[in-house]
This record gives sequence, structure tokens and C-alpha cells, in this order.
Amino acid sequence: MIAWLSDWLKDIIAVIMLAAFVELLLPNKAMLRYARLVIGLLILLTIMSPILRLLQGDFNAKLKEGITHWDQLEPQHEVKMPTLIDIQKKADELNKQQNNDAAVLMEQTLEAAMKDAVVKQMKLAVEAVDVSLNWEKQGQKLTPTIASVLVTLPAEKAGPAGTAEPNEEDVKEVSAISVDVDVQTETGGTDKQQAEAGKSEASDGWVQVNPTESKEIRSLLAEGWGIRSANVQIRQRAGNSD
Amino acid sequence: MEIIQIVGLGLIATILIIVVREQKPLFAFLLAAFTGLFIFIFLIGKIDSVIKVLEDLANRSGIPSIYLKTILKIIGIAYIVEFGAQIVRDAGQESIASRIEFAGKVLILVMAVPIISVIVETVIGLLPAGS
Repeated sequence: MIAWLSDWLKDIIAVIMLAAFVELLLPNKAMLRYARLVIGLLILLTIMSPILRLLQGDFNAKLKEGITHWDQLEPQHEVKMPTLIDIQKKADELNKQQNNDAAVLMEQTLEAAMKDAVVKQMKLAVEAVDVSLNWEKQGQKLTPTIASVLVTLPAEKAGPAGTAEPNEEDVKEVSAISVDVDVQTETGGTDKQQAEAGKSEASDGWVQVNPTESKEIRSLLAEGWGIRSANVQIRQRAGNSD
Repeated sequence: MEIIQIVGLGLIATILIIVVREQKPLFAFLLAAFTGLFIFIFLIGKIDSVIKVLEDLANRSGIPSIYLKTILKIIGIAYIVEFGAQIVRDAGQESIASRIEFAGKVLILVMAVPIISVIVETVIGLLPAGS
């Protein structure tokens, strides 16, 4: 009992001494009132500690929990100001996205324009035109250039307009010559077409294109968009009859 | 003898400020602010030893460390607020200085909230037993 009492008194004395010390340390009078309030509460807590312990069990744990809770609460309320680096990173991301969007749009419009030109000027049916862009660094800016163009012609049977039946014979006749042209383009381009030596028919459902047609398409694209003919690839779907 | 250094620094700074003030009030203010900052940082190391004594006292008497933490936070807030407000006041912005002090007071009161809540809970817990 005496030991407990002396412990309690020691606690009270220590807290009061601490309070006196703090009052000396405080820099100005304006803060004194507020600091005194908090320190007074602490002294009250110490004096009441036997009662508190009787009623609430371990009140110190509760107090600690409360204080840590308040400490954690503060940062959540803080306004998060983005730093300059964050802003720049975001700007870069947006820039990249914008560039990509612009490139996609450009590809689409180019494809549409090329298809239109081929259909109109050569009276050829075109199934699809696939343009792939390449980003080149010019000075500070990245500028897109046309890397390759892949023109897909529909199967000859289905194809309307000028490409009619006689072409079938053409394909067989000219096969030996046409290989030359197409092999060059294929090396630069996609994987699908695999022309072998003297065969005019490719393996995966593609047939060699009539060389005059392909030449015309190439010259048309070169004229209209300044694409080198080596970068243009032309393929044709194999017709069902073949 | 740090006190001589500090007082000497203060005197030199004061003379310089008086000389400069006529030509360039801005530089006078900067000089005052930096002198204040220097003295503040110079003395913070000394406060460290005082705080060590406080910690020692708290440890030996066995009062909970959370009390000491709260008290030290109060002292820290008071010093920083005082310092900032003083510089702003030197620049002639009395209203901003008083806002800074207000913020310090609010933050000190926030420290008291957990303590108050524990006491209030106890008092409420006492009431039914009393009635």
C-alpha cells in the first residue's frame, strides 16, 4: 500500500516538475495559456490515475491509441500538392498518349485516302490498306513517317470492276517474273507471304498479284504520298477457284 | 562563450541593417531573417540537452512516455510558431503573423483532445455509479 502510494506521489511530482520546466522553455506568453491547458490536463490525468485504473483498466493504452489515431488522422486531411516532377511525368504521359492517338488517326485517314485513290483511279477493288507509321526524331520533335504500306486486294472471283477472269491466266503465265518483285517486298515486310522460288501461289491463302497492277499501285502511292516502292507491299487473297 | 558570438552577430547584423535599410529595404529584411534563422539553428542544439534532461527525468520517475511526447510536441510547435511569426512580423505582415500563431494554438489544442476524451469517458463512467 505504502509502495503504491509512493509510486503515485512520485508520478505526480515528476509531472509537475515537467510542467514547470516546460513553462520555462516556452518561448512566449501567447502560447503559455494553451500549453498550460494541456499540461494541466496531464497533471489531472496523473492525479486521477488510481480512479481511472479502477474504472477503465489500462487507460494508458487507450490514451496512446487515441493519440496515434489523431496523429494518423492529420496526414489524411493534408492537401496533397503535386510536385513539379509529378506534373512533368503526367505531362509526358499525356503527350505520349496524344501522339499515339494522333498517329492512329493519321493511319486511319491515310488508309482511307489511299484506298479511295486506288479504287477511284485504277478501278480496282481494294479490301484493305494497312499503313504502319514510324517515329523519327527530327531535331527535338518526333515526327511520324510512313514505314510501310500493305495493300490487300480481294480474291479475284469476288473482285468486281476491272480485275476479271482473264487475270487468272495472267497469274499463271507471269508467275516466274512476279516472284522477283514480291520477294523484295516480302523481305522488308510481313510474315504471312512466303513465296517460294518459281511458284506463284503463296502458302497461306495469298496469291501473287498481277505485276502490272502492283506496279501501278506502287507508282500511284509513290506519286500521291511519296512512299518508296520498296516499302509498299501488295497481296491478294487466294480465290476459291484456285 | 556562445553568448558573446550571438550578441556580436546580433549587433553586427543590426548595424548592417541600419546602413542598408535606406538604400534597399528588401536586403535589410533578408538580413534580419537570416540572422534570426542562424541564431535559431545555433541554439536548437542547446535545447537538445535540456530535452535530454527532461527525458531522463521522465524515465526515472516512470511517467508514461506518451505524456513526455505530448509535452515535447507542444514545445516544438510553440518554438516553430514563434520563430515563423517573428520573421513575418519583421517583414511588417502583422496579420499573417497572428494567423501563424493561431494555427499553433489550434495544433496545441488538438494535442489535448485524446486526454480530454479519456477524462470525459471516466467522468461519464463515474456518473451511474454515483447516482
